Amino acid sequence: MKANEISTKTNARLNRIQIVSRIVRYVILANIILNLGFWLIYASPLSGGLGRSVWLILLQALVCVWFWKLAQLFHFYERGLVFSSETIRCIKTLGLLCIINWLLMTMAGRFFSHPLAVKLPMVLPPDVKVVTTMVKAHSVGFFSFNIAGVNFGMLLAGIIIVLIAWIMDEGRKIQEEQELTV
Amino acid sequence: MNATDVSPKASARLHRIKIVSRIARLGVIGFLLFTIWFLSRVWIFQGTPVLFDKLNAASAKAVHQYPLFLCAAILSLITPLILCVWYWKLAQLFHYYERGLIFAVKTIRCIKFLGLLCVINWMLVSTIHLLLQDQPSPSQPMRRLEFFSFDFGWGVDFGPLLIGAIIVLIAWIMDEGRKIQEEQELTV
Repeated sequence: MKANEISTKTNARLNRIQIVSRIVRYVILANIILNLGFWLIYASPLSGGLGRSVWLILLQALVCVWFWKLAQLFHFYERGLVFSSETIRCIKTLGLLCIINWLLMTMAGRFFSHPLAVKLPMVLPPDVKVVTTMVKAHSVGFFSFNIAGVNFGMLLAGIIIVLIAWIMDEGRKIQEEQELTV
Repeated sequence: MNATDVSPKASARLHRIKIVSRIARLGVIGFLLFTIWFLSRVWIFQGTPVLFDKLNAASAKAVHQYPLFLCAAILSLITPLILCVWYWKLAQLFHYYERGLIFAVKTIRCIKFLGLLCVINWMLVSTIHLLLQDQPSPSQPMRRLEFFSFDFGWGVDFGPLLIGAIIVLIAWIMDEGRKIQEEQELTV
């Protein structure tokens, strides 16, 4: 294969990565704004007591930081840094944020009855009734591993992301060391 | 750096990767077995799934809703299978890492498949929900703002779709990056 053919192919690939990463980054940034707006309108963060408000703000801030890091990850891809240390560190941070979120959500679940429940309007239409149901104690699903009322799904997802990031980092270091071999 | 200094370091890293991947793979297989056991217990020992109860209730209420509930019931049997396949592919991913295939085609294809399974699961769950939209869904609040959860009040959670799409995209970018590296190695 000729060098100029390979170079053209490589440029085309880098270009594709750049375009796709840029689009995804903008979508994620738009999602952050949409998420914040939605949360301010429907979650009523400043009602329901100081404790609940602090937890809600903390959790929402964590979600925003997570999406911000995800946007940063695609920014690294846009710059052509696919297997670099910054990219892998970003993936690791995403995993750690999932674990921190799981910790906060579990604690919120213990301290507050419905920490993220959306408040219904005080006056309901006459044909609408509120039905209170029991939360399932055990369930399994995608990113959902509910045992005794505690959802371990997020913890599992966070650990898997951190593990994969660590493995990729080790692989990157092996490649770098092999390149240094005389 | 001499070759003799580099090689033991690389060997030590590969060894660490092997051990951690093996532990992770066994952990994931454990989750898979637990999921199978849990689902079997729910279905066999605790009675039929809720949807089949709704199927019976629906047939008593309105005959025209029976096909919808039947479809939803069948789809609800497929989603746990997809979850099991997802765990199996995740275990396979860690198996590839254990063999030292970190940035290989097989590994990246596995990651892509995991993302696609998330998307397929989202499609099935959303379809089930849309088929049952006249029925109250006790475990699904109207609006949720959590990690991996975007429910805008339509009863359909877009979180798994987002996650699946992100996983597939990242796998595609990694694949393109791998091909770039291979092409650069071929450059004379």
